[in-house]
Amino acid sequence: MTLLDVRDLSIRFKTPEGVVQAVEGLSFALAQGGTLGIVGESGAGKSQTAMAVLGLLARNAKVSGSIRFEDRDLLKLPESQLSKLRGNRIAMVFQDPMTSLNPYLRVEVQLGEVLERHRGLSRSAARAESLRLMQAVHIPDAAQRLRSYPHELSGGQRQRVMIAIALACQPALLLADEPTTALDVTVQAQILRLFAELKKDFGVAMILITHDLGVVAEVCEHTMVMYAGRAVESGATQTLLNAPAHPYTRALLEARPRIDTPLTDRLLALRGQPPNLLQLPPGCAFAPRCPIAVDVCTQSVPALRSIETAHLAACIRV
Amino acid sequence: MLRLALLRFASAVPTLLLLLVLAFFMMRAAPGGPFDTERSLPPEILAKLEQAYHLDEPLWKQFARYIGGAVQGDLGPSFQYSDFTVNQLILQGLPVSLRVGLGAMVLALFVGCAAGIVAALRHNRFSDYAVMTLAMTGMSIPVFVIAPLLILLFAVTLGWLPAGGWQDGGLRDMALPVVALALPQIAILARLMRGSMIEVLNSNYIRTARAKGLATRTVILRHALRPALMPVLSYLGPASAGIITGSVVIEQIFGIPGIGRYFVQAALNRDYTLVMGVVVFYGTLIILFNFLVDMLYGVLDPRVRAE
Ligand code: SF4
Repeated sequence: MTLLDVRDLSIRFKTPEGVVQAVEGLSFALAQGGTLGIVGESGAGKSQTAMAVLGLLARNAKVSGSIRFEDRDLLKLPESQLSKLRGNRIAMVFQDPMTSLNPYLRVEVQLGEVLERHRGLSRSAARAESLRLMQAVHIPDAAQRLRSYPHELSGGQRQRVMIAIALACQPALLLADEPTTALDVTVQAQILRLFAELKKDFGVAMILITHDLGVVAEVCEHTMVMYAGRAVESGATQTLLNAPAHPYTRALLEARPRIDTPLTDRLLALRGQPPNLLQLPPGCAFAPRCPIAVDVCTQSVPALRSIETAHLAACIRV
Repeated sequence: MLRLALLRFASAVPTLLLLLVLAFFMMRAAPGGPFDTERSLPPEILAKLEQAYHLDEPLWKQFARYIGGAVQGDLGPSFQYSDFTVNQLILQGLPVSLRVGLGAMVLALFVGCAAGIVAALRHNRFSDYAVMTLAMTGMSIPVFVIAPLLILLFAVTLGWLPAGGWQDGGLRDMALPVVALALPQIAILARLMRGSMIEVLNSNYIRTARAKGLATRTVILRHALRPALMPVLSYLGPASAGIITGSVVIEQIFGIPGIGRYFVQAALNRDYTLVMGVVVFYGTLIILFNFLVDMLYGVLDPRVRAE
């Protein structure tokens, strides 16, 4: 059953410099308990997509399209209804666990308040439940850690606290925006394992936002690659990793750090800068960086079309 | 925390000492003396007077004598009010000055913070611009202009409040001086509070709080208020200094029998000990206030507390 159905989502920001086209004509769906990876460089529109789902876009944002979640269009819900979904049915884990927790409040307050707000638990019931959640995300000395302030925890522990907060109300959908980027490599692996485990145990659907295809490979069944606010390729993660169709996906794969390719080759794979969202190039936004671009590429935006079953790409040359 | 307290305390001693030295020598550097009057006194009387007040001694000896007394809390006799010691004069004016000063501080804190928060929450909208324009105006008009304007409006034109004086020290007496004293601080605090609130509201942990679906009230009061108040807190030291300086002028304008009025009289009359006494007393007060603020910082910020 479809849990989340995003149709033709566009997000623009009015800024003094002009209109920023953050997301353009984006459509995707996520089944209950499914996992979707959204991959792309910074500025591709990944995070803004997540913020739109949460209804937390900046005030200067203009949104169009629809975001259906459990049969309601989130874009049409009033704030009072949205805030009841946030942290409850839809939860989010952010990139930087150092700054995403309030430095002035104890962990137990920050964890307990979601339980009190959405599950109506009393202080003491919330405390007991907090302890259980802290153990579920494998934080050692959970009881003592609840009394800690964020600065007393390691980066990995803080991200575990963030995940515990996100899971507190057994959400149907978990949005994770670069949840491992700010962490050490070993801690990254642990957190990814935790996500895989939680997916199994809690049956929560997940959208994992990352610039790292390796992270997606580990957790997500489906992957969507975004470039300059548009989806350029999507399909089963294995297909995308083994037989990438879009030149951008291929470049991303080649740019991944691997032991067997020399650094210079990797950097060559993805040359140039991401496009300026204030002024997108005509036609395919990837054209200026595309190794196989031809003249027609700059004439119109290539549509996302099916190239084989459940595998879409937006490139005229595939 | 205790270490921090000791450290701050230790650093207060040289500050206070420096203040004493500056006050003493600057006062002596000013031309004229305490017994200069229109008609000059006969030399023998002058000599007697100077002897009585140890003004005939070399400067370093006078200074040593003064410091010796000051560390014991004795600020010496007044030259002008010959029946009183400086301590007595300060204690006499203190309750009045304290009422006005604290009143202004409390008023400035509440109004300034509230205005700043409103502006931050309505960032870039009408109420924001309104608050900021008023604050800008408030900051650029000096106290000695605000006070007469207030008197003109509320006392002379409307006749609601007395133009000055100190009958019973009640609300009617206090209203105008307190407002005049508080206005510049309100302006500064509002700007400060707005800036820090906007910064906090843009922080990642407020984004987290919103993503948790908390009510806006909870986000503001539980998550944003305390961190946003920290810069305001560190301004309380300078604010108290500003209010004390302002009170000297305000007490003069409104004819309030506080310490500030003695200070102005004393400076004009070269009443050395009284001027120094007030400087030392207010200096100590400001240092003490800064010390309390530092401690409060530690209490409110868990990261400072841990150090
Ligand atoms: S449409 Fe053209 S420019 Fe765009 S990815 Fe395909 S080949 Fe490259």
